[in-house]
Amino acid sequence: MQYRFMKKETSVAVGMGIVFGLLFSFLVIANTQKNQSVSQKTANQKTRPVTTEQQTTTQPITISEPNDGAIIVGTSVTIKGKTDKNSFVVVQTQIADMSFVTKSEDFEYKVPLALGENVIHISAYPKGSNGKIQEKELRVYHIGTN
Amino acid sequence: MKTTEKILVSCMVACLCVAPVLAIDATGSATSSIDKDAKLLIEKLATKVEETRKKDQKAYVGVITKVQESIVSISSMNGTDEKKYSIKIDDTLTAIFRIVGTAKKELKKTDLKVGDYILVTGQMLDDTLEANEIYIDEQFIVQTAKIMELSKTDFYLKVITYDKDEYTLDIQNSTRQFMLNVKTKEIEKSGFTKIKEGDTVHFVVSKTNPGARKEKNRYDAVRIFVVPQEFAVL
Repeated sequence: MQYRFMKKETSVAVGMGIVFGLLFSFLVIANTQKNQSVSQKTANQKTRPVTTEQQTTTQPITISEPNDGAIIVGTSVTIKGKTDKNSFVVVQTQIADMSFVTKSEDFEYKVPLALGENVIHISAYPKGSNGKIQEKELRVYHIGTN
Repeated sequence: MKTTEKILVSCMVACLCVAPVLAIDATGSATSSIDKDAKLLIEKLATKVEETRKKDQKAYVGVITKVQESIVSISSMNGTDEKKYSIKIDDTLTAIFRIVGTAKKELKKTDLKVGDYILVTGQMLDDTLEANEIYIDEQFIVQTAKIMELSKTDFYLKVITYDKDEYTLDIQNSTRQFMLNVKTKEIEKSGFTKIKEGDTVHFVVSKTNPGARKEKNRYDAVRIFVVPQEFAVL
């Protein structure tokens, strides 16, 4: 009789333990998911595109290739960079004047090189900028192949 | 079963249920931390390798300020910053050239003169550049500016750059003149008469050969490319 009573109490205790355990686990999982969604939201907010007001401003022209001061073996170099889409870009060196209109933010253009120092001046006239020009200058060195 | 025993059993069962959940969370954090460290290490290594590679391929330019037995001093201007370098010339290893158009003419060490604009390749060791090759070159200025004044009798343009530097550009017969066709957006050959005040000019001048009897910031223009003021990017 006492054995049965003990067994029933044990079962109740185990049952309660399971219920509390599951409840606690559920709370932990719910809390973790909430934190993750908050951190993701914060990250998304950081990378969100600029507002309409900022979109009217022009992004500065950037050149990713070649590096300023690079030594180039060939007789030409491809310039890669970024500026606003539909910008009119002028590339000038001591031996050539070139121009093109960007079809996207990224652009690349092949520039012939003179022997020695080449000063490459890049000017972008962004669309709707009322003549305000973005400028970038880089110097590369073409020293031939002996 | 006593009350304390009941509580103890409940806690044990609860712990058994909770432990795996907490363990999963803790393992996730540890893994992301290791990944972050590994990424940082890889990035640092890549940066170091890139830096070393660039260091080995550097070129130095400047105007010769002093010529000694086997050491040449140069001054290099980067904007308003002046840098000075000592260049060691090895009689057997260092090659010296003058760039003439698309060719290079070999020279002797004694041909280097104060005022020459030189381009040097080599390795920097203890503040001295051990030169592999030295090239005497022409120094060019390439700029974009607004035309403020033009003389149709003396054929000059007074311009101001976006950095507020003022230049006077003398247009000579040798100056290569181009203008943007606003309708076609093509570059076309042009003449001085088509240029107006307010236009934008992209110009090239030679600092080495500014032209005869020039005051400061006055040069014979090597080439100009004019963008008319009515140009608007559509």
